[in-house]
Amino acid sequence: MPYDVPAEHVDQAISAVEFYNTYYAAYPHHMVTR
Amino acid sequence: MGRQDVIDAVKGLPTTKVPWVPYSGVHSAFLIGEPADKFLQDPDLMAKGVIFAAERYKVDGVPLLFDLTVEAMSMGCEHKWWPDNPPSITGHPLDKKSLSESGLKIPGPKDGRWPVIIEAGKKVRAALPDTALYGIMCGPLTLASHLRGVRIFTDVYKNKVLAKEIIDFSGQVAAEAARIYAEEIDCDIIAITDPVASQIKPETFREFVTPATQPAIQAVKKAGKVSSFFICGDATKVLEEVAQIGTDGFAIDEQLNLNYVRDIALKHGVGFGGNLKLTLALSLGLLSPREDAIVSLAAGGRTGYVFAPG
Repeated sequence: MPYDVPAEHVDQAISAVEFYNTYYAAYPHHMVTR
Repeated sequence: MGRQDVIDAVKGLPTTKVPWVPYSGVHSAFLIGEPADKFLQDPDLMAKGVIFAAERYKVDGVPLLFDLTVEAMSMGCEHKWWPDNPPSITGHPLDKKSLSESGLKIPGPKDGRWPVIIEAGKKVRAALPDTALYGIMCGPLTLASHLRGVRIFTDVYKNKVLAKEIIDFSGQVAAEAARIYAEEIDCDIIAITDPVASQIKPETFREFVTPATQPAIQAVKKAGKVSSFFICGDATKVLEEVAQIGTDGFAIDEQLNLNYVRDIALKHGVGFGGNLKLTLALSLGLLSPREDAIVSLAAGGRTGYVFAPG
C-alpha cells in the first residue's frame, strides 16, 4: 500500500487495501535498477 | 478553485491540497445534453459544456477539450464525426505520398477547427478565472500516426529517415498548437498528449519522440506557461524517458502503478498526474471509484501531484 497518507486519512487508506492488492497494477520492481 | 495549486503541482512543487482535474472531454457535451459532434463544432456549446463540467465537478483545473484530431483535421485529413466520441481520423495523407508531395502545411490559428477552439477557449478563460485551463494538443508520434497511418510504427525501425521527417514535422505542428493554446487562448497548462508513445521501445522514444517534442516545450516556455506530457497505456517501460523529456510534469494512464510513477517523478523533480481508472471505475463502473480515488490520493501525496483520471 502507498505510504504518503495524512494521519487523518489512515483509516480510509486501510479500507482500500483490498482494492489495491486485488486490482492495482503491481509495482514494477524490475524497472528500478534502470 | 485551485488554479495556482494545479500550476504548482504540474511543476513538481508542494501544494496545500491535492488539485483535482477531471479530463471531461466530450463528457461535457453529454452533461449539457448535446451530441459530441455538434458540441465540438460550436464555440458557444463548447464553452457552455466546459463551464458546466467545471462547476459540476468542483474542479481545480479542466481541459478546454480532449480531442487529438484537431491538428490532423486542420491539415485536411479525412475523418468521421461521432455523436458520443471525439472524431476519428480515417485517411492518412502520407500513406502513399511523401511530405513534399502531399503539400501539407503547419495549420495556424485561422485554419481548420482552430477558430472555433480559440473562440470557445476565450469564453471559458473569461468565465473561469480561478480555474487552471488545460490546452490538450496532439503529440508528435500520435500526429505522425494520423498522417502516415500505422506504418509509422514499423517506419521507426525500418525506414528511420522517413519516420524522422514525418515525426519532426509533426513536432513543428505541435509547437504551433502549443503556441495557440498558450498565447491566443491563455491556457495555464499545455499538455503535449502522445498516447501511442507507450507503444515503442525506450531507445526509440529517445530517438524520435524526445527531440520532436522540444519545439512545443520551447513554445510553452516562451509564452511563460507550464507544460506537461500525457501518455496512455502501459507506459512503464518508457516512464524514465517521459520524466526526462523536458516538460514541467507528466500524466499517465490507469494501467500504471502510481507509487512507481510518483517515485520516478520525485526522482526527476517533475510533477505527475493520474490515475483514477477511467474505464474500469469511472466509465464501466466495474470497480469502486471510491477505493480507486483513495489509493491514488494516498500514493500521490502532496508534492507535485495532480489527482486526475488516468
